[in-house]
Amino acid sequence: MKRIPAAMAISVGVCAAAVASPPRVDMRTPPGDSELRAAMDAALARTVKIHGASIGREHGYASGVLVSDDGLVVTVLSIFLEAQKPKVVLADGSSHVAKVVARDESRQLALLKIDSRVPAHFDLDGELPDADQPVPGDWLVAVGNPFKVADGSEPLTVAAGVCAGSVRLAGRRRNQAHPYTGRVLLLDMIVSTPGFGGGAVVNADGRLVGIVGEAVISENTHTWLNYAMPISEVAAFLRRHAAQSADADDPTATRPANLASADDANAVDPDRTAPPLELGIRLFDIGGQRQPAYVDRVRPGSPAHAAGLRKDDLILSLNGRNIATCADFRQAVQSLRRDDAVELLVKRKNEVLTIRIPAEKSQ
Amino acid sequence: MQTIHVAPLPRRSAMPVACLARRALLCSPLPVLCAALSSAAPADDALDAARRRVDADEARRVAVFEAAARATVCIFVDRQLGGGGSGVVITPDGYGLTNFHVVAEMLETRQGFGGLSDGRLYPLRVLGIDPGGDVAMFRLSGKDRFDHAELGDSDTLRVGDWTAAMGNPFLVAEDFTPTISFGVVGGVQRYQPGMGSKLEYADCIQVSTSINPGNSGGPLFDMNGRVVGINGRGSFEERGRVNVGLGYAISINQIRRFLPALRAGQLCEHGALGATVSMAGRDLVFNAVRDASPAARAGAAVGDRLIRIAGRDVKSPNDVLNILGTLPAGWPLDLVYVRGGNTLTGRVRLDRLPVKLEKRYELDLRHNLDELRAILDRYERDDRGRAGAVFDTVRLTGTHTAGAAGHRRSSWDIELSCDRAVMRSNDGDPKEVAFISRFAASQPRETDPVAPPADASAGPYDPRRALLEVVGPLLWRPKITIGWEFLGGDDVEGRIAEVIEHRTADGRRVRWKFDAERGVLLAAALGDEREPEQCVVRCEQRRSADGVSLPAAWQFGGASESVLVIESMQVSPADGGETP
Repeated sequence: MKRIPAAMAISVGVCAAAVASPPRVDMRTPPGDSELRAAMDAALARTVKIHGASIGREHGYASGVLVSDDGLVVTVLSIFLEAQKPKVVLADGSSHVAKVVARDESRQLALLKIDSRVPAHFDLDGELPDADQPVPGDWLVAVGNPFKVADGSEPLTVAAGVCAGSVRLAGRRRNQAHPYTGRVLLLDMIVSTPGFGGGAVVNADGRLVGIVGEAVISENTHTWLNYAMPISEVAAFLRRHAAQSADADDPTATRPANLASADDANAVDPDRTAPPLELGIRLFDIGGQRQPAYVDRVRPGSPAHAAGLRKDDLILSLNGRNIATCADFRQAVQSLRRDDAVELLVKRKNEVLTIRIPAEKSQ
Repeated sequence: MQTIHVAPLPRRSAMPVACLARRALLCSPLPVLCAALSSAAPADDALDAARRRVDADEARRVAVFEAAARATVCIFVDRQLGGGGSGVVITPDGYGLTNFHVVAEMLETRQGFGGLSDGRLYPLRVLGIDPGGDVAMFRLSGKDRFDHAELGDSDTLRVGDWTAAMGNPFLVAEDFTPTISFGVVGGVQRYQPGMGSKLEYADCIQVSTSINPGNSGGPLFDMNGRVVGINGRGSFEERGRVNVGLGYAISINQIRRFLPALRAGQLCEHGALGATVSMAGRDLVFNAVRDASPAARAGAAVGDRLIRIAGRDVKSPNDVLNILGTLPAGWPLDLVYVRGGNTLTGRVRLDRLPVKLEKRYELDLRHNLDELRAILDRYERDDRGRAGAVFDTVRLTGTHTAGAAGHRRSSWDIELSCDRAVMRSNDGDPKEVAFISRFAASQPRETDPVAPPADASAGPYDPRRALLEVVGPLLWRPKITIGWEFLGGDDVEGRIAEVIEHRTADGRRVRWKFDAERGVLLAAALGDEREPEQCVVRCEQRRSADGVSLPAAWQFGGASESVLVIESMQVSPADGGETP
């Protein structure tokens, strides 16, 4: 229901454009079966099923897109990647063990690598030309594996709809805010389903314009958001990875095809470039699904130590995000930078205490 | 890019204002205005052409779905419009399809109500049910002719095809005009497991088209307004019972196989192979085969590699479930499997996968026999000829060839006579009913002196007697009563047949199989209680006399392979000379 006004707004926008300037007849003419089918086939051949760990209510599967001929896969960053051996299943049904080679906490993207050459992949040759940037009303196709409905070599699910707009993301997943607050493509099709995350979003020409974001609830409307991470953000993530691999001079590092290792500072929020925060906390983490976040050790001289955190404290929340498990804590900390202040709520014996680690102390 | 026939809905809302404004300008007679616009003329031409195409597509689509909407039914359990779902009328006389789970609450009374887009509520009667496949048939009454939708071919659906779903989601339509939603086929040949023996969606169609509670049982249309599926479920996990972009429709090609049994009012059961398969590396192998099961009868054993069933390659257990789930019990199935490098084949009939219902399902025999009579009526009208005619005697002469090599041949003649009686039918009109009173069959005369004497009575079925038992009721309409039943459907060489059965007093079963589309006789079968299809009769060529047409060559399979050919046929009309 919430989407109806949005759709009307788009209609008005399109009408206005039609009056103001000669419209792009090619893109505005509705595509038909045969036209979108080429785009669908292109996306079906380049999108993969990913199976990982299922933890609690988190689904252990997702979708991903192939971005190099030697098996690099971009997907959403989520709990399912915590599996020992996540598996990537290609369109032909072949299953490959994948290694997580890079994570982007701020964009919630991950890069996986399988040891196999792949028959087809998306060519992320720099930025999309302006002419190909989706605008409201453009037809798009999404391909992914919602509800794990396709298995083995069974073809993935296809959805089609129009680009509804480009907005800043303000979403949350369960009780946690989604760290990415940049622009996303809003889609007029349902992709906010378990497992669709990481799927390909292509335009009518079959060009990748984004990947389906992890399902989040809008902070504004409290409805599920159907959105895609724009290709520019995906490319920026890949460039950063390529640059880091080059810096590390890691002979095993793989670089996405045709990606310039240009500086991607423009694509990343400046306040997200600070190095990761190290609090100096080790948790009592022996694995398992529901491991509460008990502090096992606080490194002497660390910011956490200075703030008064002690061994055996149970961490309840971090900056307002509920921490139920060690994994929650790790995830919460990963998105922090050294210039972030931290407020922990901890339980110590029968007391609940607030531990503040100010930003200057964490420098 | 080229414009395509299908203009998806969002366009319409996007166009009107600007569209009207621009048209008004282009139609203006004022040259000044035209001159002012001339610089933009090429773009305008292209735009205008595109708009005309879009408008034509839209007009066509609107017309198609207006017609489709008239066939869509809003189903209610009671007159107070409590609970219900959707359905679609598929014949002019009011037969329609819905989900089993929509009519499950009505099984007690078999009564419900169907609202149509004319705003009226019609009495609805539940006919056959297919709990395993979540399908049910109903019939609306209350007017002579209903708008109906044609059935499409769901095997031709491809991922990305546009589809429209109609029905009554959330029961919003108080005037019974259906809601239409629009989307693409997101996947085909999907498998969605059932609950126990019920509600299994095999080989189903996955759509992005909105399917919400209340859409259940409603039609999924292709863009020509033909029914390609019956919407029934969605993936709603964690999202409440609302559309999440994954709806599933039962394919109409699966339903076609069940249609005869549904029309007959039967409790339909799905087929079982009596074996399980599993992956052994990349091979699909039998890991259990029950004794005397269809798989065992086809010759398969544990360890054999299954490669093909029902003409489709199978590579995973899901593929097998997908195919089996769409086949009724008793359906013939071709199996291809590999043992030690040899490719073996088998053709068997599937066992029943029993359905458990809370209450025993009783066949409405009166309805069943009405449907059976309708099949015979259609046969007499469209295949045999001289519908309703009463014959005194029919004389058939012909030859009989027994043995695969055709070395035993004899000629014969048969005379069939009848008595007639006047019966009162249900509506009180006197009606003449004929009984076959005499079969006279001559002794076979040898026509091939070289061959040993033909033993026409060898084997359990004397082909001449079989012919009489099969042909008799096709010439003289017997009294249709206890002992007769419209069983359901069958596959006769790729065609879907309607099967009716007569159980004789001595425990013999005779079955006739009529083409479900054309009404012509495709085959017949004879047997006993234990093995009702021991002897299968295939009907080829035709012999006609006095406007009556019968299959001429009767090929008997089973124990005594033989061919009976009717060489000539003489038909004597009833006393009084004139045949009706």
